[in-house]
Amino acid sequence: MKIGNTSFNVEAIKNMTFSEFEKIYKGKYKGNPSLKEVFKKLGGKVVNKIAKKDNTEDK
Amino acid sequence: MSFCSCSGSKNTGLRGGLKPFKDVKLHFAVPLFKADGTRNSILSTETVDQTFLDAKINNADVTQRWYPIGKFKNVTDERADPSTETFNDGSSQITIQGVRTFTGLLLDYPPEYITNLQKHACDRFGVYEVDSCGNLRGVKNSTETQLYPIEINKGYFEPRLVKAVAGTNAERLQLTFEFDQNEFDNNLLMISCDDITADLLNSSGLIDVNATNLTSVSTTGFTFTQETAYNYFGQSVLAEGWVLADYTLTNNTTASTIVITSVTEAPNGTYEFVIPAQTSSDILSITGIKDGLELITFEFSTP
Repeated sequence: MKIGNTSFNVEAIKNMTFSEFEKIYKGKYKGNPSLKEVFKKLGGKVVNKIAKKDNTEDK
Repeated sequence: MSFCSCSGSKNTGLRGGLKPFKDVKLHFAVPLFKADGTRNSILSTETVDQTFLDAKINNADVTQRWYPIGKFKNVTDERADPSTETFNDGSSQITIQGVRTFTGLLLDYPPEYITNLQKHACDRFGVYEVDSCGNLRGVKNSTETQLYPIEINKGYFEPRLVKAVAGTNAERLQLTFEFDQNEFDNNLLMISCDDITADLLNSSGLIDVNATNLTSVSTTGFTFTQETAYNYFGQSVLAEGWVLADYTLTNNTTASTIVITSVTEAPNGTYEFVIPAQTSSDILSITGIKDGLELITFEFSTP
């Protein structure tokens, strides 16, 4: 899937946590939507850390 | 196969309506053998339409790809007189057929194009001929179920630069080659242009794209710029608009395909790759094809 000037392998992104995604693409992605929106669009699951008692993320 | 076979019919009748093959305008250079050792051919059951042709020209497997060369000008394609043995009584006997030699001119091709032409002669290869009407000709097999490319003598395949002469001729490339001595004219057979819907005469081969400025190489990514071949000195024409699906990345050390995570083009013509972590010092190679362009395979090592 192409978002902005980046074409992603959706299957590979699905296996990442948002933290992993953010670590790679923060500062690199030049698209208009936020990094979190891009992650969602690619099928990644964003979990609100505050809502989780153990402060972890799901994949 | 022999030109002196004595078995079979000697009838000399010919049905009407057969069109002759006309002057050669274009060749499709084709390797004789695929990577698996079988011969490249056109099957009698196949239809030469645009889909068929595009698949041949853009084939990712270079051992099955068709390479259009042409259009040619001033073509000569003649077989020399046979070699003979002369006896004391003055009579002669043919010992071997003469060599068939092709010569044609290619206008508006740069001298560096010679390099790519020469590379065809690195392996056994042949050509399908296309005439000015769009008929395609090759060599039939014994059962006429397959049409093979006509084998070239790879020891005599010579592209050369012919420089311009003021008032007489423009600069051009001249291609001269010999057909293989085991190719006999009576085995040539054509597919009529009436049965071909592909635009053979206006087909064009893939253009080389070279990777330059390889930077930021790590075990999880790398960046390079893509430039098309055949430019003026100091000039570069970037290959833009490529996406992840256009590339094939291989880890040569582990002999495995790497599934690329993402490709970002920024600025235009420069591509940043993100890949799953590889082992340090592995050798990676990347290639790609898009819209008539081919990224020439290049290798690099992870740090």
